[in-house]
Amino acid sequence: MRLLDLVRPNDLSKINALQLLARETVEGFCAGKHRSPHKGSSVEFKEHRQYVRGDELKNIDWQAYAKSDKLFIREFEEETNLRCMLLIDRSGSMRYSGDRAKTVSKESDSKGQGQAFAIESKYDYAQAVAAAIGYLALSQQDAVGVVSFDDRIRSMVPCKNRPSHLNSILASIAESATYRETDLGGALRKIAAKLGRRGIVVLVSDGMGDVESLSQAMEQLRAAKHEVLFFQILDPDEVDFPFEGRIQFRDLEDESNEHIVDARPLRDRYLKRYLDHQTALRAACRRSRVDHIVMQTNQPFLVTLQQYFTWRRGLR
Amino acid sequence: MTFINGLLALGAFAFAIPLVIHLLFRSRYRTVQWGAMHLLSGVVQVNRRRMQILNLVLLLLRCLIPVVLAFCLARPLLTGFQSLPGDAPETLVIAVDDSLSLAMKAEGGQSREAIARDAIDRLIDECSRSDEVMIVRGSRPGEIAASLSKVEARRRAKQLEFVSGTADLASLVDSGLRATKQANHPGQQIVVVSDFQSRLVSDSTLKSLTEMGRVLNEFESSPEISLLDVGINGVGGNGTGGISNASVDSIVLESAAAVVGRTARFTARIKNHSDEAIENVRLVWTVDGRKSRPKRVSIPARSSTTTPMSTKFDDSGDVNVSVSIEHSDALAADNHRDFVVDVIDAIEVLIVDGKPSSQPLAGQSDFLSLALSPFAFGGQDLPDAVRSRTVRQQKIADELEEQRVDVVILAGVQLVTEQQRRLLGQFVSEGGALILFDHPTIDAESYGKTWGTNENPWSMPAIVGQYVNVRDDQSESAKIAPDIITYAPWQILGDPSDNLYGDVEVNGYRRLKVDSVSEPSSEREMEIASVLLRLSTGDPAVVMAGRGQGTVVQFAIAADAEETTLPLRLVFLPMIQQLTLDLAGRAKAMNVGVGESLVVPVTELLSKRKSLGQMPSKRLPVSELKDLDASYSLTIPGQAERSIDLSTQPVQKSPVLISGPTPRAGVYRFGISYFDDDDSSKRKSSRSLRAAQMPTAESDPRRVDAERLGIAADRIDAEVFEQVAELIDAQKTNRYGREVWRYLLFALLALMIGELFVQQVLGSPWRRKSDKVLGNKASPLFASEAS
Repeated sequence: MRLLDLVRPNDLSKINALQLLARETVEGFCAGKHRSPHKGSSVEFKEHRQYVRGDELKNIDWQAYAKSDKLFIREFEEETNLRCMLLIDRSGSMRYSGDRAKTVSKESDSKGQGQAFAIESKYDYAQAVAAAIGYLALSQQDAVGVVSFDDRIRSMVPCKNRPSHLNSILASIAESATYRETDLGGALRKIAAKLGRRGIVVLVSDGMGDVESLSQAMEQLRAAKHEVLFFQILDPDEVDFPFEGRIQFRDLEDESNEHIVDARPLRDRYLKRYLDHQTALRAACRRSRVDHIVMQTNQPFLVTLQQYFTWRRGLR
Repeated sequence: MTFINGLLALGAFAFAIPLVIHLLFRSRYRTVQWGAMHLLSGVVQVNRRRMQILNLVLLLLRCLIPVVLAFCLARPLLTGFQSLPGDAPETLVIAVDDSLSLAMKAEGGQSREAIARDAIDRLIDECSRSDEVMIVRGSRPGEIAASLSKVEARRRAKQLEFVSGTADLASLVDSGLRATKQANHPGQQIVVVSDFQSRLVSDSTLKSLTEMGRVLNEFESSPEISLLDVGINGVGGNGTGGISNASVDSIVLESAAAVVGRTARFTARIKNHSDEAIENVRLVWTVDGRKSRPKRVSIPARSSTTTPMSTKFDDSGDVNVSVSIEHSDALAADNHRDFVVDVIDAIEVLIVDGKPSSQPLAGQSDFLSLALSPFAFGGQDLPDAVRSRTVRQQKIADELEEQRVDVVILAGVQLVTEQQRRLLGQFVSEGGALILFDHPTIDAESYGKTWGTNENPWSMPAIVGQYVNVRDDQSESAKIAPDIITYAPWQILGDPSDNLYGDVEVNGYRRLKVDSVSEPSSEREMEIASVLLRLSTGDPAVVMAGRGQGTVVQFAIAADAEETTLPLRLVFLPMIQQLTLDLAGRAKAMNVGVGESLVVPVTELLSKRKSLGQMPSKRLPVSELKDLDASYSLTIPGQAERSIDLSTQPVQKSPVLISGPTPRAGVYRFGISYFDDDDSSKRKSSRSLRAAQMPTAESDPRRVDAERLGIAADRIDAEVFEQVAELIDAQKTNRYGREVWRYLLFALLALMIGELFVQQVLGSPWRRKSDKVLGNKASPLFASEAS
């Protein structure tokens, strides 16, 4: 799997211009662009403290000793690399591909801005988003890992910051979606338990599922000091329910679950339900201090990412 | 129920289209692999039942729409309202109120007459070829209605003239009902076309209608009666409707009689029927074609004024006196009124003295002679209105045979023989006047017997009772009660409260008993007597009643000065003069109401003929008329002269000319042309005038209250229509059934609106709210705790 299979070359150049900066301090092994809670050897002086037994002698500031006749230890602020874990929802609901997303994809192709592969389903879109963020993080020498899940963890690539790690990440991202049900909350809780040092958790999912369970999982991630970014991928059909006439809706996660309905009269009730869901989701994110980014598959994801990262940098 | 366009009803099967579409779409659906099923499932579960019901309702509405549309186009007829099969011929009787009031026209508006004509035309137009039409007129209640074709009916309707007198609703309906008896078809409709003036539905009309309704209910199938009100859009509504109308209401001869050489006084009453005063209306009196100097009169709103006129007549005969006002108003025809007065040379009075005396003023007739001919009695060279002669009782027969006599006075005649009762009775029946003065010695029994011939018997107005000698019973004389004078000719005597009869003493009088019911001695109904004067004892002093064509006046007191001082008083002379003039004037009916017949005795036309001049006027043998080779003519106002046949009065068997019901107001001229005895080569002619006068009610623009008209209609189970179109619709409904396509059209619209409502509103109750929420969420994208 190549990166260009998931992201267009033009977009890659734009991605290079982005910076995925952790808003909070993160732990890392390598020097990078993010502040680390660890103080150690670095070029950036932070403070003096009195020598205590056990401190390494090399850290004593002899000049200060000469002046004050007291032993001080020089402490430096350590720059660390970001640990970015990409969580990709591979459940059946992510396989939905609406007509409008397909149309946009085709139009992009005809304008010569064709993506490396046609983005039709939400999962395709999620893959592109995840690849872009993974590439961005790696290009910043941050450690990137990938976890894909549906109702359970399907694959897991640990965080590494080597450029060669990109292939492993892309290979994991490129795995196709399953037909299984989503259990966002349950899956995230399991993932949270496996994540080590604190870092950024990027959740790419449609958010279809029990909001309460998801909320609890996000709370758990937050408790582990992770910063969580939730990229909610939605198809425009799910947003405005444009269907008319008699339609058989067949569940992508459970083929036995189907409804033949007259779509038009249902539209308003569906939209109300959708809005309720979104409102609850937004509230849960706000409660857990999770960035909630809604992306529709008929819109270029890069624009949304650019806006988001710009906004995020402004908060720093 | 039937359909006018029956084939189109098959279009109702189009209901299958939405049904098929529904079933087709039910089996045909698109499959969508859906991700957000957890959102959709909840919605589907909750709304499944509601959606099913909604879909069924929608299906029902969509199926009903083509069905109702097809029925609407097929124009269904509800035949439950039909009285007969629609194609059965019917008889339409149009009872037209052809009274003058329909000629009223509001300023700038259409006259009631025009509306009525248009309505009649449209009613006739609606008839089928096989229908028959009958037109009856309110002015001709007894007319036998002819069965007319549409063409003939239309022609007859054009000839209608709205000039006649008052007809009431009951007579119009009755005329219509009588016409239906001549109808050839079982289905009959009566349409009364009228402006429904207020007088058209009186209390007595309601009673008559109630009786008619009762009779109609007894019939198994009675005619359908409709009342078409043509006054609604024409002139005024209730009240005068703001229209202006003034009329010459009446012309009255105030003098008791018009006598050659004596001043005759007339008054005319001008009435303003409108709600606003009329100022300075020009009024002109015309006497025998000579116009007087115009006067100006002003009349307050809704009131009347009288204007007097005095004139002297040089010659005897019938004279036309008319009054015209120049006022532009709703009804021009009532601005002029004709009146015919009979100007007489002198009144011939025959006084029969029951107790003549050689002493002056001692006889029974002396005071009467003096009172009747005061100028002749005093030797003055002034014309007396009355020429009296006094005879003995035995000469009555001879005098009546040989001389013209207008009034006979029996003054204290003791015993009236059977022959005299027969002669005098016949004299009264033929139009003569008989005055009886009492005396203590008269034989009451002979007076109480039947008078006249066996063919025309009559009895005295009051039963002649015992003689009451007041002085025997009471210490004081009886007086004449100072009562209100109800007898019009005596009203000129003065006000009775001014002690007019105060010094009159009555020492004895005859007790006269006036029955409140007609005398049973005759099979004919007799006019009930009226008391002209009453004594202070309560007994009648003077009693009057009509008998036959004449009049009988009974005095309870004597004509001499022995028993009463009345002949000695000044009031006696004008009393007797006025009474005699009035009685003589009554002999001829010169003016009648429109619609009534005019009767002119041929003797009146021949009165100037020398050989007949001395004969008693009322006894001309028909055989003699044949010798005259006479021809007779009648000129109706506004029409050319036409010849008429001689008639014979049914009672008196005397030759008369009869006009028949007078169709319009104005002067009617009766003429005779004959060979005179003196010069058989020359044909002579003479004429008599009569006037038909319009009832004053026709000038009143007020219309009957709608509620009262409704009550009247209910009595005969009739329906009131204000528009002819409504009436025609009702007739069609009654005949062919009721068309209901309009209702179906409304139902169709309701169904379509209902379908839209169910689909748009019930089908998506949260639409607006959700759209609003969606609208606010234009930019979705991201949110965070920091924002």
